[in-house]
Amino acid sequence: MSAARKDRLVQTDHPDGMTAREAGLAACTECGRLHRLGAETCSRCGARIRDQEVSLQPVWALLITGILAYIPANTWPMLITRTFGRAEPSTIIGGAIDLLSHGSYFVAAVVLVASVVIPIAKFVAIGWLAYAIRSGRVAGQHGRHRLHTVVEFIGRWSMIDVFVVAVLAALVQLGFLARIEPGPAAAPFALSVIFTMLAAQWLDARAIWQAAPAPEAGPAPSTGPAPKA
Amino acid sequence: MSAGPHRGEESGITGEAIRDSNLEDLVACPSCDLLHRRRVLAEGEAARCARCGTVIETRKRGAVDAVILSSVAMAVLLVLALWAPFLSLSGAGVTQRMSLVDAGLALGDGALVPLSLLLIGLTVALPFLRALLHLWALLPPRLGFAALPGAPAAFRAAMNLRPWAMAEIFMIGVAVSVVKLAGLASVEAGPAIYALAGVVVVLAYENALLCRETVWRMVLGEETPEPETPTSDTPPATRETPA
Repeated sequence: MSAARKDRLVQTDHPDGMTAREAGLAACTECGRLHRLGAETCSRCGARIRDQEVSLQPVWALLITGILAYIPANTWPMLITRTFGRAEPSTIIGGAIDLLSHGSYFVAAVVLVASVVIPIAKFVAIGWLAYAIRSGRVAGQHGRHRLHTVVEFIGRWSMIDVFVVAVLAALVQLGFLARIEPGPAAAPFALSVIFTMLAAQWLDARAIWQAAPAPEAGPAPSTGPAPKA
Repeated sequence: MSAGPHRGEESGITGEAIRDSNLEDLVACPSCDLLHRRRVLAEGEAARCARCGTVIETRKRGAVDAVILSSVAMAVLLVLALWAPFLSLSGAGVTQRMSLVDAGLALGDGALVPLSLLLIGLTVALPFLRALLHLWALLPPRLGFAALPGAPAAFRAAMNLRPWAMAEIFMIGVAVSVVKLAGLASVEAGPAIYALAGVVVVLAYENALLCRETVWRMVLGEETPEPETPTSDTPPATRETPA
């Protein structure tokens, strides 16, 4: 224990390597208080106790909606620049290519990563996590748990391009000389980000661990405390 | 993957014992649901899950005060960010100055309304609302008064709104916009930009200090258990408390 003390981290010891669920308990997702399974509201903070075995259907529905919204988000123009009465629509990728051609490689990379790489990686990641939960994969929980954390943390950053459009449109109103308007892709893009954020939130991290064996040679679930009150 | 040394054989708790034991002595990892026996932390300690490593609880001096103070700072900075000039743009003999409120109002026609609502909502309104909810839930109990009605619900809402408060993402969006405009006009940053940058810093500070368990105890007026006097087997070098 003294080694753990040195960096001032303590690993609480855990009885038998059992999850709350296996012990017939459910933790409040809001304040953490444990309850016997079957409790509906938290006796401590009043929140509804969310069952971790919530169906994956909402996750799939939100994810698919996000993917569908992402298609027009990329094919329709995101920005329409009017200079001297000439309208110039540009898509997300077109805008990034424009930036590249002006030599702003770094900013172009930021836009591409935030608007293309992150959303697509997120679709794949959420789909994979949901699939792994459904099929009860036993190995690799650590990796998938980390993936879930990363997806939740990084998904919001896709909003960058929506903010760019809003700022440009608000700022550039120079009469007939130059005017920037948001294109029709702005709404589906924002919705795509919002839907996938919701999908990631709906995916309960605890479900990733459900099929996991207890650390080390903990009791097999079958010999665990099966009786339920 | 090394074998975890933290199986806790010494505890030897059976399922039966768990079902009969006081649930307040146990805590489940919020990420992977593994049960742990709760233990009173010393100042500066953090309890991590033995399986997935998620921090379950920390004990830092003044964590609640930090949340209260950063909420106040955040509210002030956000009001500034909303009304102070944000960017000014000059090109073709015209100068335009814009505050976020102007942005919201200027985007008044048709298709732009949802966009401006989204902009103001995610960058200013939600962080501001979170700051107010924190103060509603935490300030009275911290000052020794009774909790206001709905305090638990307020704190819950503040926690759930966390991923949707996007001031820092907006800052990056502004930077990208400025680069995009470089050819068209010259852009200057106004005070609101610095206020928002302040918001980003305060937010990071708050996130680093916020421990859900500690704050819930304050919201609900529960006592934080004091650690027992440090046992003699603790090496003195690792103790923080001055004599």
